[in-house]
Amino acid sequence: MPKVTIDGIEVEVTDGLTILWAARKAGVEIPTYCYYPWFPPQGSCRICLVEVEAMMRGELVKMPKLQIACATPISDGMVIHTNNETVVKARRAVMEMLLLHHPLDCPVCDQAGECDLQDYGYKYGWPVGHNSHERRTYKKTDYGEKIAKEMNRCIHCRRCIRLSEEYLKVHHIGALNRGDHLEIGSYVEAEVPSEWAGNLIDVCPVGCLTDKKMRFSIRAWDLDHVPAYRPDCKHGCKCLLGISKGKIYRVTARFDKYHVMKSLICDECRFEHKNMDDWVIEEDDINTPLKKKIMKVPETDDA
Amino acid sequence: MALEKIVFKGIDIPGNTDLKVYEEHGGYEQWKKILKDKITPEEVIEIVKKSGLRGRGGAGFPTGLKWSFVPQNTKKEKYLLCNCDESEPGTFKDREIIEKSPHQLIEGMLIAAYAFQGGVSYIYFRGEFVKGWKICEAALAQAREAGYIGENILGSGWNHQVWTHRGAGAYICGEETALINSMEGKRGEPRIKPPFPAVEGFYKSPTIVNNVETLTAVPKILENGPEWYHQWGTERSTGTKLWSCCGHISNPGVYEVPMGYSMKKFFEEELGGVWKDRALKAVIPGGSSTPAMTPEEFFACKMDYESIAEHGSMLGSGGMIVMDDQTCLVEVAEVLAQFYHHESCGQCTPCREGTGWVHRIIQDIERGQAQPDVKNVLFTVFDEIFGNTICPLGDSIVMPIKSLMDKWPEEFDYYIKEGKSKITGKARRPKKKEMPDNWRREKPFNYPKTEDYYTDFSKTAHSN
Repeated sequence: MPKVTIDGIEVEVTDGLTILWAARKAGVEIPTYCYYPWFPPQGSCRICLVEVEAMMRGELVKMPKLQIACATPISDGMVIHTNNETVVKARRAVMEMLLLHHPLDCPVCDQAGECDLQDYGYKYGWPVGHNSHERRTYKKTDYGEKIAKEMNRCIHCRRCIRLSEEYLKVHHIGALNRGDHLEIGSYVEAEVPSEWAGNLIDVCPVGCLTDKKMRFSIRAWDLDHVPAYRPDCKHGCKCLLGISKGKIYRVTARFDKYHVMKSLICDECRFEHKNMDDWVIEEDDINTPLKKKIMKVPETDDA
Repeated sequence: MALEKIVFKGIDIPGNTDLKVYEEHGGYEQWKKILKDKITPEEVIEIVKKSGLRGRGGAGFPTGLKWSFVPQNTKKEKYLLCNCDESEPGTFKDREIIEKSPHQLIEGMLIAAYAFQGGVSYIYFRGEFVKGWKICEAALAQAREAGYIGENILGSGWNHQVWTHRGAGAYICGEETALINSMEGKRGEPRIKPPFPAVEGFYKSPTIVNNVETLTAVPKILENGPEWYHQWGTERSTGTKLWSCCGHISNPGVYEVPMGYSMKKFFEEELGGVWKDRALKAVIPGGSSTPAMTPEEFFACKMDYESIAEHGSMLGSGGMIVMDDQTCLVEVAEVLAQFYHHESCGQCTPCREGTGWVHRIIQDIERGQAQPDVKNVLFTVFDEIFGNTICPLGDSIVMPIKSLMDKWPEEFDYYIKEGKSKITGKARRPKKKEMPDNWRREKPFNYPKTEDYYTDFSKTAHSN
């Protein structure tokens, strides 16, 4: 079992793991956008850049470039810095680039409060923007009754493309054009032809794809999250209800502590059933008032 | 014209696209010899390794070493991809080869594929190379008919197929992993490495991607031996290199020059100096993605990888762009930025957003509507792009423009301050909008320094 040192913390991890998982085991946070454990790493967002010193012929050699933590496998004796000036600078650079065209319409964004861009922007961002140009805007496209798409907020992580191609098996969404006018979308303006399409909302780290049924009705931080299932569902979806004052505002998949979906849920569960009678709550303390349980879900053992 | 072509002699032979003419000049002899004398693949790799041939596409990786990385204990098909997606501004050497000497390329490919036991090879053409593609297709048909390609070649039991593939005209597809993606029918976007293509490339099989010029040199090296190739150049840069020279010179064109040749001598004797008796101002020596050189640096260096690197640039793909003293370098920077903005694939963040940003800033300078501290912003953006991207395209926009701004700062300062070019005396672009009288900031804006905002995040709470 290789031993690596991450920010001075020594951990022993199984062979073949990436730096990201080693760091998670050591309790060091590395931000990620495009990385999703369901798919092979794509390495395109560049927010997870870390500085790596690797053992080469018995000597510790610093790699000339920063490496992406999500795809670089660990080797014995590696020393990884996730927090020094070079790395902080690179992260800040990526944050600035991502926010270059982002509309920053957080006050009216449904994702606000559980948005990776907000969290990491707050933590790793650059306090002043250098940009003095107009922001890029896209033509509005309609994705049907279920999904609201706001392309201007997109950070091009392509999780939605990979989910729809590899799991939903629909080739509806793709990348159009190239460079900084690249658009994630479809040639045809139509609903995503899948009964699992709602999962695209959960996989999106920002407010690009949001739930149209719950749009502008409540803020995410006002919701209590309760794990529940619907006995009538033919798939047996394990859902998480977003409840406020006894009313269901939204239904999502359950997440683990890295905000990764535990399983897909079907569109019927997600969009059609907003009546409490349809659901069976898996915890009995739903009715105890004033107890917020934001994202309180059973934790799995990982890494 | 003192310099004769040596390795690429075929370019100057008229009618060399025909198989008969090529065979008269010793064509396919090496391929026949390898199969007849049963020269082992290891021996071929050893010869190429000894010759010191390095990849001519830009990175300069030793070719023989690359071939030896291919794992032989696999049941998967091994592929050779010939990279003919030459689209860098200033580089046009591969076009000469495929249009005038395609058989030498095909022979080189057959030998290279045999060296690492690859069964199928493809030539990836840039979409715009229609003429070259047609010529290569005709040459391939001739070679197939003559039995040099196909099943049981010349009765030796060795099978090999060569096919062509035309791209759709994207610069990024010249990057080897993007080329593989494009051939597989995906978006032409670079992959993350490792795994390297030699282990897992085209259809997850071992794949070697070589430049046209590299492969074309292989038959001649086998014909004359590695010592013959060593007679030119230095210890680490051996042999000869094709240089495609363009810009403000008297004799533009493609030249074959031995490595280590004096740049000054080559420039004065072969290229005939700067045109119209003007003075030299700047040279981009290796295609548009390499840093520009001042005349002093340019004349001091020799034409090999190490010497050019010592003098502050890179050999790259050998596309020399010469600029005379009436060139406005701000305009040059804008043209370069426009190219990389247009060709960025849009996959990774710093390059996708950064190239467009750099382009917009330089456009602002050309309109005469840039703030006085715009240079600081540009250098910050360069820092943010450089080294943080998946493939070298992000570095490619930084290196030439940064070198222009470092080495000719007065021209940029003048353009920013006066709103017009120092050379041409006018702004290249019309003003975008009417600005208020006080739009120009007198004091430069104090952008925060990294040290001011450095926080030790290990002590903050875990957000997950």
